[in-house]
Amino acid sequence: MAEVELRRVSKAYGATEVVRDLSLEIKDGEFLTLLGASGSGKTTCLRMVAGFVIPDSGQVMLGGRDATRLPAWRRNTGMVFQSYALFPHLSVAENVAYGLTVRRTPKPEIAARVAEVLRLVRLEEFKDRKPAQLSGGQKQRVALARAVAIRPEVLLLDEPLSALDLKLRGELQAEIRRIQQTLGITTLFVTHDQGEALGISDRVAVMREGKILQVDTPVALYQRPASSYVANFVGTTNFIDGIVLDQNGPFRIGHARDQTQVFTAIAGENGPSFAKGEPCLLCIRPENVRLGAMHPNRIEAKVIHVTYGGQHWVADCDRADGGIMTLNLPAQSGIPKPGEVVTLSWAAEHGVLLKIEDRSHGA
Amino acid sequence: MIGRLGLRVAVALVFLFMIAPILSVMVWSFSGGRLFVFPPSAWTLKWYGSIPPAFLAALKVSLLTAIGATVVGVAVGVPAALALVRGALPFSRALSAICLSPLMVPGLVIGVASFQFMNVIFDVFRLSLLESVPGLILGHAAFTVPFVIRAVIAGQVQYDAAIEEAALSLGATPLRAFFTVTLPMLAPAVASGAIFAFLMSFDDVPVALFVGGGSATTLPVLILNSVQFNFSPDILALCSIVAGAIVLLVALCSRLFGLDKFTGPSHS
Ligand SMILES: Nc1ncnc2c1ncn2[C@@H]1O[C@H](COP(=O)(O)OP(=O)(O)O)[C@@H](O)[C@H]1O
Ligand SMILES: [Mg+2]
Repeated sequence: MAEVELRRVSKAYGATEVVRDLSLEIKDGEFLTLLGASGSGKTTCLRMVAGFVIPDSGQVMLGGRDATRLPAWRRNTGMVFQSYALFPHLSVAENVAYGLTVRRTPKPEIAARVAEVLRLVRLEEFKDRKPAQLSGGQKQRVALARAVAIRPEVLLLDEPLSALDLKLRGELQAEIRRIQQTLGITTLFVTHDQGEALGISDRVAVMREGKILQVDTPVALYQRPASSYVANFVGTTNFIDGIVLDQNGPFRIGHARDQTQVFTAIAGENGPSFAKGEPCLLCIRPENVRLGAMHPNRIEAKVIHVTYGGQHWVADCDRADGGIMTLNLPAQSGIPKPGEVVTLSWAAEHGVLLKIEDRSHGA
Repeated sequence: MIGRLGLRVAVALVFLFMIAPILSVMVWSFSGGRLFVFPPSAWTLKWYGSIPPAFLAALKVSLLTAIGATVVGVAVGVPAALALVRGALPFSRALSAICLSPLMVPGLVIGVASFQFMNVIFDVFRLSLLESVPGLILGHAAFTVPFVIRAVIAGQVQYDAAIEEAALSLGATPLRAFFTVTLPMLAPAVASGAIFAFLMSFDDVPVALFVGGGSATTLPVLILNSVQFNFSPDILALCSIVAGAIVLLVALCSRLFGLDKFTGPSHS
């Protein structure tokens, strides 16, 4: 077990910079997830830690040692791939033993360790099977067992669940987390699925275009996104364009189109600072919006449609300013009809205030 | 139901049609009566005892040539295929087209070309390859190498580079990963390429006609000659032995390397 650190690493392929001056620290025993859209550079970062990509500049630190130029086979990392990448000509037990055999571990110890990790992934009775005789979920558990059998300093998983169907994904996600906790192993996990990232990680780093936008616990990331991109990428969010009217005490925000319409919001501890008159973006999660005027921040909207989401109804409403307001309604509650004009409201602490830096969320 | 039954009957008929000539050769090789009467009026094993020594000598030439040409095919073809698929070579498409082109050239052309080539070699190096087993091997390499290349390239289509990376991340050096992971994974493809290369070399007439002859007459060439001039049932006996041996060889390799998996649908 060890801590992992990327220090100001960059990587370009031809003229395109895929990773740009990126720094990231994973603590000993921590489960950190790189979350980002496809092509944002997650895999490249993970492969830097594995030793398959050498950064153009910057350093890769493994357990406090500079490993930037150490070849992959001299690093002690366990890797799990989306495609499982099991050795097709070897049995399950031989697959798991591979890394130990390579290390010239004594035979009895190999046998004991293989049995131990196969028990950990609950595949003891499959040890003599060939990979072709396993289901997708079983294959990935073998891959996981093979990776942890060598007691790596860091476990690297690149979209390990993406090839599995939804139900299996949930099960294996829990399994990976359980094994990671049992072994206390430092883990770097890569996914484009925000639900997966929030559910499995100690901390999540959101990546975009080769940079890390925010690293935070899942709760902080969801409740206090630091940018509109993160707010939009992690969960669903409503955005309102505003102008800061008063930044002392709780923020007072005027609607950008109509400053007589005023909202209040509370800045986070490490939230951005604003000047009076500065344009800003107010974002409110759908589950914090209420039907009716029970909260001080209110907006009128016309219901477009209401869809059933199992645990709750999801209502999309048109606002007078052209934006859309999405809210969740309890499954048991009455629901408004399409076309109905309703008042929506939310509490001040549920309004998150963001700088206007990019408009790519499309609000 | 009827559709499936019909399909099975059709498949069986096609199969019978393909295998009937070989079966009839085998049956007639045991015929003690007049030749080419079906069914034979009497049975005997005598033809198997009277295979002329010239045929056995030609069989030896053919076997040595086929083994040599297969070894050359694998030794050159496997690295070439790996380089073509994974070497990130410039113009790799054009290169692989060039490497595979001998498969499209008629054997007769390869025969003439080999003949000319070996004359040039003799003129320049005073090295006589014509009418020798090494010459035959060299001539046959023109199609055994591309055959192995094609098989190995096809085998790598369903090949995942992450598998090798997995070996490296587990601590295997690139050399070790190549020998413990890459090669065993390619074994079915190499085996299938090698078997077909062997059979093509063993079966070849045009190249052997130009390059062989004299002290290096191959079995197919000798059989061709004797069928023309003095046909005798002992040839049928020899052909039956060869056919049987080849069936055994293919079955054995299929058992060893799982060729069925290689040629059948993907199992990953
Ligand atoms: N070996 C490579 N050669 C050229 N471009 C590459 C290579 N690897 C990745 N890229 C490019 O770098 C970008 C980031 O890739 P990647 O790190 O795989 O992103 P992610 O895993 O987030 O989808 C992509 O646009 C991809 O096309
Ligand atoms: Mg990726």
